[in-house]
Amino acid sequence: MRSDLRFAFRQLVKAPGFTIIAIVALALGIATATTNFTFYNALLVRPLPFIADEDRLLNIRTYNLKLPKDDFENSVPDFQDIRRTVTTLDNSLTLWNRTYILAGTERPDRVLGCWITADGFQTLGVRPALGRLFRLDESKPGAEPVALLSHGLWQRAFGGNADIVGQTVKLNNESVTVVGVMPAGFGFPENSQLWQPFPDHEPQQKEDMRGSHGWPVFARMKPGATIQQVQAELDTLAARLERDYPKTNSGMRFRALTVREQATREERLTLQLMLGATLAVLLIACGNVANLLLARAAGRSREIAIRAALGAGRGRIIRQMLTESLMLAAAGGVCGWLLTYWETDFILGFIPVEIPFWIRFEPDWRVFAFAAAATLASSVLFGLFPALQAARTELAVELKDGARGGTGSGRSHRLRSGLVVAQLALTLVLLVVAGLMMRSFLHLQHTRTGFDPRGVFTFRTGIPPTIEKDEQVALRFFETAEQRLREIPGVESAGFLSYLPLSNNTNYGSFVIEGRPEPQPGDRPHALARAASPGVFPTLRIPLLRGRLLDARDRVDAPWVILISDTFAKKIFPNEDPLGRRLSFDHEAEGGKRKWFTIVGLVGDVTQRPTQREREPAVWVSSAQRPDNFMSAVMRVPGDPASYQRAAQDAVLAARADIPIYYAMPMTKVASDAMWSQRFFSGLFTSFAGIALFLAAIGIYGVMACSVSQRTQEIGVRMALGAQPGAVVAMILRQGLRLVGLGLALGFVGAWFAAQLLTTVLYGISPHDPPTFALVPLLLALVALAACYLPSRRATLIDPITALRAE
Amino acid sequence: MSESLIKLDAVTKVFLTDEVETHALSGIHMEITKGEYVSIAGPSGCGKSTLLSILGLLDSPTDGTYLLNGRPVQHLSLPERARIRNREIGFIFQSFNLIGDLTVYENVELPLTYRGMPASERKAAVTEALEKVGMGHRAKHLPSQLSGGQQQRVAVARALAGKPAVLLADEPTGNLDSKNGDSVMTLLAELHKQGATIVMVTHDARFARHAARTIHIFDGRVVQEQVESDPTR
Ligand SMILES: Nc1ncnc2c1ncn2[C@@H]1O[C@H](COP(=O)(O)OP(=O)(O)OP(=O)(O)O)[C@@H](O)[C@H]1O
Ligand SMILES: [Mg+2]
Repeated sequence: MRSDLRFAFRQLVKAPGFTIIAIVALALGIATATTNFTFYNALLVRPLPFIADEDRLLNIRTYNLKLPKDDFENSVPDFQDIRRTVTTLDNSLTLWNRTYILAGTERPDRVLGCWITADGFQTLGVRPALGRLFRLDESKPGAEPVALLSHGLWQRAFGGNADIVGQTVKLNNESVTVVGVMPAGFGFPENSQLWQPFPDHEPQQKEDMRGSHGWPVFARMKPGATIQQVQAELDTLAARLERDYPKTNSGMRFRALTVREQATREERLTLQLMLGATLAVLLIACGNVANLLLARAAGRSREIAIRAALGAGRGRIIRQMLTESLMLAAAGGVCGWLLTYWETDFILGFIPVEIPFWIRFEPDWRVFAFAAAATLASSVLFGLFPALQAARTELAVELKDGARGGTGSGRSHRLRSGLVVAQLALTLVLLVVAGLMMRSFLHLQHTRTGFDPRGVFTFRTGIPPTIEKDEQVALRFFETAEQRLREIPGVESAGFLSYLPLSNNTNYGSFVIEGRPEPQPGDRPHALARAASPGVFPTLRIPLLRGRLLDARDRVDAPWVILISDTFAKKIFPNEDPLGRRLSFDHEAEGGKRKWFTIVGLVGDVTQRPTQREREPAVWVSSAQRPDNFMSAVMRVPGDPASYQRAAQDAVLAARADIPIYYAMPMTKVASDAMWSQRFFSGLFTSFAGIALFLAAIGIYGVMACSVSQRTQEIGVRMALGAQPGAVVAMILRQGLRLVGLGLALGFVGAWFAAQLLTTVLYGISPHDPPTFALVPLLLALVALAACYLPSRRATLIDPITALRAE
Repeated sequence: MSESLIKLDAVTKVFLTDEVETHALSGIHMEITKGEYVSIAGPSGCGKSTLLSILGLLDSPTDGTYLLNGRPVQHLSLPERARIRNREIGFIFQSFNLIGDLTVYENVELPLTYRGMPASERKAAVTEALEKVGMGHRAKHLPSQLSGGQQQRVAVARALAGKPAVLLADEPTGNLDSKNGDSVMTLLAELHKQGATIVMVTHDARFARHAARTIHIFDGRVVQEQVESDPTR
């Protein structure tokens, strides 16, 4: 064995070019696959941190039977019914994300936190790092306000002071006692930094809020219970609620999924596709190394024949060859592993959003095991063919005196050609997938958004209701702030709106039209509802199509007005004039008395979610008539919008010294971040496909170059007989073309089927997008032919005199 | 005297390897007329193969002129040289150099396809050439299925199928036993009788006698020309 190792090492060092190409190909393949497994592992495999027994922790969501795919969060009264009546559930929790303003630090600090059911942490199974969890009585009216801090907030705002437990801090103008600090890295549900018990007396708990959805529900199954049993009980409960509360619950059902399944529902397919794609890259890399080894084995067949003649058994020869491939694989694996760290960091750098606390990308033993397995498996994959081939060497032929190359290696050559065809086919599949994702991304990017993000700066701000109960105070704050923003030198216009276009925030309301029969509660049309100050429309350059925009008249004491979008008009008033008509939102009805908004204008559609496949009806109300606590500012400025951050912050602080701004950035960044996952994944696929293309080009180049050198004598004869240089090039190219053609044909079929898997992740193009399916094979064909052209050029440089000289 | 087919004037060939100059040919003068059978003899390394390569336009001289059919050919382009090799010259090598993946028939056909000859004409020419060397019955065989002597006959057929102006043979019997060697030599003699021009390199004085004229080369120079009394006549 030692001598095998020593010999293998000598062989690898003797041919450094071969060794380097093989190691580079392997390292690329292994690193790409391992990097992707890192992502796959982080989202789909690795146990959720801090959460005990995650398979028993369910996430329950509500959906309407009419649109079973569009599920949404639950209402608090529904949650309480679930908590009370579902016997297969041990315990459950709900939560509500809140923005807190933490006073007492240098500047007012905005902290993202949440209300959570008082015993919620027990349901999750997480323990505090410091202090204690909430007591049940701390959610009762009149209880002393308490909070738990995240480890990060504790470090950042309180310097990690161990005496924090028991101290009071100023949160939203309220003195709150810190009862504990959660462990480092914990941020349930995503990146929460602060938790307070969900108060029992909160209006959301009241029965008349059953129609108000927005409350995530997590529940732990009893030991031994199955998710089917829970689902059956939820179905029974939903049917009962439908009977008891037809107005809010008709057609409503619950769906229970494990937390992981729910959290990764959208990414699962993409991650699986990506892992598949990178395994294909690894296979292509293995194909390359196998090809190199086969080429070398062909050159070494005489050496192997001599070994066999000297009495080496088949097993012995295979072992010798496998030792060599294992050594190569080990070197490739180590380089690949190092590359993985770098590649993972590099790729993470392209994710512009905060990653939820439970996703951890640091490689763990699973990633290591995957890399080791990939290394081992590939060494067997690429090592076995050449080894078996070598062991089958025919002694008589090989040792016969004067035997000339070209005849004995036909089988090896067929195998190598087969590998190249497979590589090309896989590469085409990857290229087509990447091409489709790229086209889809470009389509999204060029889809009209209905507003102009260039030259606009934006940030979010607001006064938490606990600081100011009175909405009019918040309204005055926004009006003052808007005034201050306009006074900043250079600012052309400014306004506040409830949430930005292209942010994934949405607020839908169901409504009725005056003068039309009222549909059943479940059948009511929905529209995206936004509140805006008049300055928003010129700032975002949203076009007025008919009627008028919002203006200074539309104050709280004036008649209530509303703007509708183009799509709203087409869908709701296909054959009528909408101007002057009135509509009323269901959630605005108080005690059976409806509030009516008069339609005064028709504006262009503004895209809210870039991945929305259909344009959706939307309305705009005046923020003076429907004030919000938190709003986003937009301001149109000359030059670089980012340079207005400081001025904007000062303007808001001038309006009110205790209110911070956040999410401050140019609007173009909002727009590009909105498509980050499409850009990210299409970019990733493109880079994998690029690597595959590179490896496949090396592969076909290697095979053709080797074939040319094996055919030196033949080519020399042909040239002596008067073959023109062009004819020699054409002959070699024809040989390459056969491989390329076969690979492309197989790859085309494969890509056709693979594309079908992409249907749900593509926007604006068919999975069988003709330009992609026409141009991508052309690209691959050109690259492959270029790779064949070099060896064919070399063939014409063969000196016939040398080639023909008798050995 | 019949017209001159090949005329070399002060042809030299210098190889440069690793800054060492090898003077393979140093001023060769030589003239070969149509229908002649010339043998070239000399010790190993004296430049015989180099001379033949230059005659066959596989290589070009470092200096001097080479007139083929009265036309200077030493400075032609690669495609031009390929065309002349294809039409005017037939090669016979010591190691046969048949293409292993092609049948006997296809091997012989090869130079004709490079000429763009129509298939029917090719067929006639190949059949005729194979008949001439007595290999007509082996047309479908692969070279590996033939003996050395048979392979060399096929190589001869390939060389003459295109009716070249001259046949160049570099030790055509070098890889053959004496019996096979004899029969290939007899074949060449017959071809000569039918009018072929042949230039042959050989070590073997016995075979050299087949030729009407023997040119002796030593150290890249023609040292002696010897005209045999034709042994076959
Ligand atoms: N490509 C080359 N590069 C350098 N030197 C060469 C080359 N080809 C031939 N020579 C040298 O030129 C000289 C003549 O070689 P050539 O092959 O013509 O000899 P030869 O007479 O055919 O010998 P033999 O009878 O052994 O075949 C030799 O010294 C040889 O080493
Ligand atoms: Mg020689």
